[in-house]
Amino acid sequence: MNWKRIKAIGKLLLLFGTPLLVIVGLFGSGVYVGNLYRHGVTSFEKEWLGLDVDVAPPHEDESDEDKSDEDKPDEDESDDDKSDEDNRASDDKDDDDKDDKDDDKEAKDKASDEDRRKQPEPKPEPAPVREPAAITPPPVDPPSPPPPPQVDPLDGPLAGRLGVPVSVEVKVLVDDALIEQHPDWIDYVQRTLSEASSIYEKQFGVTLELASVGRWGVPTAGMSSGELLDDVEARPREAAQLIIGFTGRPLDDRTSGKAFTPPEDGPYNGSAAVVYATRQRRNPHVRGLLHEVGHLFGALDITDPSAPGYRSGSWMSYAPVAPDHAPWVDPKNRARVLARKDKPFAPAGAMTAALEAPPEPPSQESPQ
Amino acid sequence: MSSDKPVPTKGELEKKDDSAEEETGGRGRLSWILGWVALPGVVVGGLFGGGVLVGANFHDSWFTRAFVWVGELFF
Repeated sequence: MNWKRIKAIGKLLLLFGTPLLVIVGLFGSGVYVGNLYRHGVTSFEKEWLGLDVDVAPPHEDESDEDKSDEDKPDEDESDDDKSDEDNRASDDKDDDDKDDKDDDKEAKDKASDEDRRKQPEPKPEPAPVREPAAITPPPVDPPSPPPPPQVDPLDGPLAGRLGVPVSVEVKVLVDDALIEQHPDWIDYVQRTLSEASSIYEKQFGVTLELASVGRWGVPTAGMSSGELLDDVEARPREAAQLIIGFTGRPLDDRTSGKAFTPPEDGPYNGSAAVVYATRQRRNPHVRGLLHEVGHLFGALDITDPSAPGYRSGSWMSYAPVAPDHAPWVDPKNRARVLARKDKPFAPAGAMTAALEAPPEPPSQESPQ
Repeated sequence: MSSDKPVPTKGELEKKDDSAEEETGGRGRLSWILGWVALPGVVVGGLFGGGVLVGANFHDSWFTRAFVWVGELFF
């Protein structure tokens, strides 16, 4: 084997290998960075590009970056109050900075994981097959057990309030867009309300009972969330205390719902709400339903990304959470709901009249 | 057969040469920017961005794990 041949092979390798190495190196470093910041990238894809992707939970390094923000003095009370004040005046706000996750959140996630392991997995109930005349068989989603709610312990008077049983009859209206998406829409509503009810029972001692389900004949396009809310409130409530419209239409800006929120000292709780679907969830309406029913009981939006409730992914916050995030509500809103849980619900038309009277509308539009 | 077209003077010819040089210079700068900045930027950015998307969306694949493993050797 002569030296010249080896040298030629070496040159050849160098000639083809170097560009290949550069290309693979560039692509590989992109893969590494993409994997490291996958939460941010997938959030960007979902929020800005509108792609149908699952938002990954934040990576350790992403959380570490956020930890530096936590070094600021604790602003628990002031932040929350400030955000509450914002909520009174704000409607729809941009929910940027999605990466805010902190140690509390991690601890809570861990705790919820442990809870999940401890609790026996509920058996998924097979959806009874309906046979409507011209409707094709429903595409039954693979039933996966919902994540159990994360319930913080209570003490003092709040624990006493939790023990007061309250049962609320709910009438649900379903629009055509949702019926198209869920041919098994009656079962879907039952499952959604049942899941929300079990969470409300643990968090507030409130049971949501389905009084009736009906079709909601509203135009499938061109109606804002406010118009939809007015429409749903005008519908007959029959014996139910609450009337809630489920819509499957595309999100109205970033809205995932709208509900009448009573003032803190108001005599009535809200009685009508509209819930939009939230994409990328096992059940797209559960979180929105928890949020809007929370409004009806006086809970307020958390819009401030630095508020603890936002960072921990309270369902009253505007924070994006992972699809398997255990439902959790922040202590302030929990106290609000517990305080108002046994108040009567506003009679039909009362909330619209209240909306017209004060300068500040008592309705809360919720982000996605 | 006579032509009325005026014959360009020497000064006019020099002016034309100058403007031609300016045009060539402007086009040259543009080509330089396109050739050395824009195109390589697009290629490099495309490769890197493609990698980012693959890494974020296929974080469980053997492919991504291999690159992450290599990356962790250095960082």
